[in-house]
Amino acid sequence: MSLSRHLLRAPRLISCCQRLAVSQKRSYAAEATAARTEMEFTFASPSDVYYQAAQVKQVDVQGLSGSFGVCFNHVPTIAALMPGVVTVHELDGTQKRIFVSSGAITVNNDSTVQLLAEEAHPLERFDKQTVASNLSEATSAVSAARDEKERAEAQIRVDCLQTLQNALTAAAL
Amino acid sequence: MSAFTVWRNAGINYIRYSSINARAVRDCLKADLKADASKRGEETIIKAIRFENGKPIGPDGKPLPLKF
Repeated sequence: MSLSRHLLRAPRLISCCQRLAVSQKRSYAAEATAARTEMEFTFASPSDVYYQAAQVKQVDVQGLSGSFGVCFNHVPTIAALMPGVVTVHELDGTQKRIFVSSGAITVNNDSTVQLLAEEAHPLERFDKQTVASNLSEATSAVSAARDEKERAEAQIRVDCLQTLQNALTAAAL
Repeated sequence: MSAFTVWRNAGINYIRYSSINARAVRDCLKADLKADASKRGEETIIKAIRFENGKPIGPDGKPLPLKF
């Protein structure tokens, strides 16, 4: 008698446990409210437009005060850029690498991002031999400099070419 | 001391820093792209139009047609 009563209750007990298990599944607040992970990205230089209000997942840049990545819901930021590779993570997972000389990135409250560069080129546009010869010329210009300002300007060029050479080596071009 | 402080202390501003870097990048492009790229930054193109009595005058001395 008592056993059969327990058996009758069993299905209800199981469904209660299942509900409990579902309600305890945790998720991030952003995930729960909106599934949105993409941001509107604009990237241009005076000669090229790479992205015009395109949807992308993430952008990695080299700021003057350090490198950082920007995703959806990033805190609004404005940063000046130094020479380096900008990596754009597109929605389908592909990564585009574009070398920028300098410029600015603006991250707005509504997750729109603008990156404006003075020069921006994909790595395959560079000639490795030219980089190497320009770098050795620039290095000797640093030691030939007559004053502090000239030396600093020559050093900027050396740092830029060194970064470009490292990027080309890393990409095995 | 970071590289950033070095050029700031030498009295170079970001605009100058940017143009030195842009030039360094242009100088490393492949030959076919370089010709076009070296026009940027290295030379300035100025287009001048002479006006007489409020009307634009062409190089031939005749009034230019107004285009809107």
